[in-house]
Amino acid sequence: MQSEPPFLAASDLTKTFGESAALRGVSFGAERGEIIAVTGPSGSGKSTLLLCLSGILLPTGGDVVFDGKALRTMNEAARSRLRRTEFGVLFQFGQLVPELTAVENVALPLLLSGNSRREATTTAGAWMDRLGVGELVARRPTQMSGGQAQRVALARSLVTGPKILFADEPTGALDRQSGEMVLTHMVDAAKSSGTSVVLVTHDRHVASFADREVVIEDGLATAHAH
Amino acid sequence: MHTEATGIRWAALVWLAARTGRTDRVRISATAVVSGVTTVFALAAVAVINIGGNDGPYSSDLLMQPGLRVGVALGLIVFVALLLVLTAQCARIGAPARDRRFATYRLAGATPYDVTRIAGVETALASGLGAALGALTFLIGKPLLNGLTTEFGSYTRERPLSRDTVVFEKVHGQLHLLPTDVHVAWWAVVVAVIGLTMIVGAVTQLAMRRVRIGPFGVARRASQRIPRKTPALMFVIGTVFLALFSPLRAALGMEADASRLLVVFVVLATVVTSVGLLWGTAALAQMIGQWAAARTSRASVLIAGRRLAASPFTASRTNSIILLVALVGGFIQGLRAYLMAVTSSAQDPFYATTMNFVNTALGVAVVLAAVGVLVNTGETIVTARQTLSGLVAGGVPRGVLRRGLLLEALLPLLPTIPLAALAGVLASRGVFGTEHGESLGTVAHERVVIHVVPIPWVQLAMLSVGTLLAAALMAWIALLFVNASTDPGELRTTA
Repeated sequence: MQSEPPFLAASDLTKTFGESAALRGVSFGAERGEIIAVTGPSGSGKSTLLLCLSGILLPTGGDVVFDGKALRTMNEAARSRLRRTEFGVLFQFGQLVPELTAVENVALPLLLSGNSRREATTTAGAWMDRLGVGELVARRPTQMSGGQAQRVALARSLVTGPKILFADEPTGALDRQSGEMVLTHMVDAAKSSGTSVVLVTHDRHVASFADREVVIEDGLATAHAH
Repeated sequence: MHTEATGIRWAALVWLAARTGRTDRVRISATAVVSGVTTVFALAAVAVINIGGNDGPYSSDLLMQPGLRVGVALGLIVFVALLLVLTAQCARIGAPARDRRFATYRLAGATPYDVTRIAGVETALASGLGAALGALTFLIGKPLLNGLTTEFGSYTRERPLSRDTVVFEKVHGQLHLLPTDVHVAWWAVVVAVIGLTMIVGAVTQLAMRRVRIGPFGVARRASQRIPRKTPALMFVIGTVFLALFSPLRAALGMEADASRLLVVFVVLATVVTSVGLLWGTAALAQMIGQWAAARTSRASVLIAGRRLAASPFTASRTNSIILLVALVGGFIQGLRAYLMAVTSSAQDPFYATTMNFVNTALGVAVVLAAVGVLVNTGETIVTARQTLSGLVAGGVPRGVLRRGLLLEALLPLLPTIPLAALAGVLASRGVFGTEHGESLGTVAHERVVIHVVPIPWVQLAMLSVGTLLAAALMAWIALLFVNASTDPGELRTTA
């Protein structure tokens, strides 16, 4: 029997910035509902890998295929649409619009997809309740703690029901307790909705939340643990 | 090794100020260019003021008549003021990135005073260099233009016959288009260069007063004040007073030039109207922002509305110059309508020609003021680049962000520019009157013809639409920064 190709597959990815090679031939695969930690030392290329996998950056060589579609063949608008509908992204800093309330921040991707304001805010509110930040709907990001803001950002990245969530050091700016809470919510939400997660981290403890670990060193995937 | 705290040396200050990136070079170049243009305008004003009996003759009465020359000099000084504001705005281009660099200097041991001095030195160098180049351009360009803009023509010369009698005679000869023949003293050039450099430096320092640069980052003290509605009332009161000025004066039986008190009243009312307009913009921007954000299902309108409501004073600060230009522009259109109604351009084209010249100057002022919108919108984009990058990474199309930023720049201007222009027209009609009586016939059979001054609706519409279009064009140009400011690299940068 022929095995099904991975849900997200990258083959022989290279990415150079000027003279410097950030990725030097990385192959990667993720199955539906799988949580994968991408670890490695600073400057090893793990964030560049995530940016290439999520279509934010186009690799210099190789390609990323998601659900049978090659990202290289899509234009910028199509990749944006893909990130808005099929992917979720979560970063360490700066993803919430400081002037919008928490519920408006979460509702933003839904408004962009043509939902009415009422529908969007209702769904956004439900996600905020689910992640334990339901009481913060009317607050602005500057009126929240780092952990609360990151859970609101997590709600925004999950609100469209993405098939895969890309998270780049999502707890890097948080204290241990807040980080733990964000990770627990992220893993629970992903597991319950069957969302795959690609989690970039340099923290061994954070990586322990994943099903599998890919180690990147000097632009190469050197080991697969777990 | 020298390690005790004796303060940073000037050479080190200059060296640190010169450690620049691409955005810094844009800021320095823009500051230098606008400083240069400002210096040329300032020296042109000096030249007009210095026109003496031995200078000229000139092809335009605006330069020939001492009374009109004052108006030309004042117009040039207004341009200089506009350009100074623009220079100060240019000196803030990309400032967030520079401030982050300064934070690393703080981490390395620089004091808050040191980083303020580094910023001051950078601006002073850029502005001083630009002003010096502007002065050089003026000094070299003046004799060159003198040769190019002199033509043969006729002009009217006053010749005193006796102590009480003056005859006007038509003379043919070489006429200067511009006061390129006027001597400008070297010390005036030096004062202009040093003065402009110091003013720009001071304004830049003032702009940094809300920025706290610490070793671990940059904090901006955003104003938490809620804009009051009172300024809007000031605008209404000032405008109504100016509009009713002539009827009030007539009702009180006061002669038009009876008292300097009247002038004081007009100036006061103008100040009240202008201040009301500028401060009222903050309340209006907040109101528009809240109204739009609460009702929309469009992400671009939501972002623009919430940003306007969150920092309404940014809108009033950004739009102050363009609104004042619209107000003055409206006043000019009112004056034009009055002059055209009370004079016959067929008999004497002087007023029509002069007002066309003034309108051209107004057009230049609108463009200069709109450049301020470009600078401020660009600054907004660069400041919010991390949030914008996060949104783009999350799949928000850049087009949505562009529309949001464009709306943020234009929404407060949509009602305020026509309002400002209308207030200017009303003020003009109030000051100069809405009708003019002309006495015709003989003493025995005198008849008075009343010329009604029309409201210049067409000019008013052209001014409003033109100013809005200029602002929209400049804001649109500033959107070119969006691509560069949404680089994925921004996602890994701390604020």
